[in-house]
Amino acid sequence: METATSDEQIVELALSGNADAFGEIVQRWERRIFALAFGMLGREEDARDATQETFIAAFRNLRGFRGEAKVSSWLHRIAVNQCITRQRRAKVRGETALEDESEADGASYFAPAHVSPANSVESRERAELVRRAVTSLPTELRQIIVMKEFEELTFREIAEALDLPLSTVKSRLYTALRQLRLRLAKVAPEALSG
Amino acid sequence: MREITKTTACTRSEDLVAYLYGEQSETESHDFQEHLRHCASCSAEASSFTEVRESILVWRQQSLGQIAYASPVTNETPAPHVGAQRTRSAMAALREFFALAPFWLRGATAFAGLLLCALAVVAVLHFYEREAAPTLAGKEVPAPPSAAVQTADAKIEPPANNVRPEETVAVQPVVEVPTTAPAIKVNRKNIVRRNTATMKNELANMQKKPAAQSPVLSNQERQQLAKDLQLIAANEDEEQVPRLYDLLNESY
Repeated sequence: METATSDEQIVELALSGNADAFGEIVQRWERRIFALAFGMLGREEDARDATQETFIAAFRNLRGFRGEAKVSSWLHRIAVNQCITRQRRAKVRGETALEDESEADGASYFAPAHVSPANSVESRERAELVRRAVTSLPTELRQIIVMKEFEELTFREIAEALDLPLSTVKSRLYTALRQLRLRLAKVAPEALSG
Repeated sequence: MREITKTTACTRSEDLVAYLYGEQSETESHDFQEHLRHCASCSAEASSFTEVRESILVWRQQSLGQIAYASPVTNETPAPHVGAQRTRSAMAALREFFALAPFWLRGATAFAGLLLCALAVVAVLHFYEREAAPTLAGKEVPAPPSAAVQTADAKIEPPANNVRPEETVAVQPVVEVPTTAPAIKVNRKNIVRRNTATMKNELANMQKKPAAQSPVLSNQERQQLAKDLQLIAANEDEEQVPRLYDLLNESY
C-alpha cells in the first residue's frame, strides 16, 4: 500500500514538472519490467529494448495515467503490449521461436528437486529447454507464466495489469502449466513422472 | 489447447494453482490438501506442475542471476543481494547508457576507445625503444671498417712528417710483398684471414702508439731503408761484396 501510494505520488511529481521523479519510477521498476520482457521474449537484447520502450512509452503517456490502477500494473500493461508488438514484428520478419526444435539430450530434464544443478552445462541445457518451451506458448499464456514466475506477481496484480478477471488469470496459468508440462515431456519423454 | 482443457479430470484447477502458489487462506489450503488426498488427478498435476516450476526457476536463475527485485509491497530490496544488485546496476546502467545513447555518441565513444588503445600501443613501443637505446650507447662502438682501411692506408702511406715521399712509395713493396703469397694458391680463406689478422695486428700496433708521436726512424732503420732503396753509396757495399771477377782470379 505504501509503495502504491509512493509510486503514485512520484507520478504526480513527474506530472508537475519534476524531471527526476520519473527516474525514480524507472529505478524502482526497471528490473521487474526487464524480467517480464525477458520472460516474454526470451532474449536479453530484445528484453532490454522492450524495457526501454516501455519506460519511454510510459513517460510519453504519463498524462494518460489516471490513477485508476497501480503504477506497477500500468507499467506491466505497457510492457506486455511492447513485448507483443515486438513479437509480431519478429514474426513478420520470420524470426520465430524454434518451438519444434528438440534437444537430443533431454534425459535429465526433470531432475529431482533435491538434486541441485551443480553441473552448469546441464542446467544451461535445462534452462534452454524451458526458454524454448515458454516462448513457444501462446502470448496470452506466456505473459501469465512470466508475470507469475519471473516477476512473482500475485494473481490480483496480474489481473489488474492485464485487465482480466481473477478467475481468467488462474485458469490461464493452469493451462500454461499443462502445456509446458506436455511440451517439456515431448522433449524428454523418459522424464515424465506420474 | 481445447482438448487439453476438456480432458481435465478435476474442476478445481483454479484452486490447484492458487494452492501451488500459496495464494490461499489457511482454511482454503487445508481444504485443498484434503482434496489432494482423494483426487489422483490433482495430486499428479500438483507434482508435475511443481517440477515445471522448478525448471522455470532454473531458467530464471540462469538468465537473470541472483537479481533481487523490489517487493511490490515494501519496495525494499533483500539485503543479501545488495552487493550483486549494485554491481549489476552499474553494468545495467552502462548497458542502458549505450542502448539509450544516440548513434553518434556510440560512434564517438568507440572512436575514443580505439584512439586510447592506439596511444597506449605507441607509448609502449616508445618505452621499449628508450630502453634499447641506452644499451647501445653503453657499449664501445667498434671502429668502422673504413677507419681500419684508412689506418692501413696510413701504414702504407706513413705520415708525411718524418717520411720522404720516396720512402712512402718504397714502403709499399714492404707491405705489399706478401710473405704468404704462395699460400694464396693453397687456401684463399686462410690467406684472407691471415691478411685480415695481420692488418688487425698492425692496426693494433698503430693504435697503441700515441697519435701525437710520429714514427721516427732510428739511424739503423734509416740506413737499412736507404740500402733497400739503394740510396746509400754503392762504394760501401761494393767494397764489402766481393766481385765475381776477383773471386775467379783468386781461384786461379
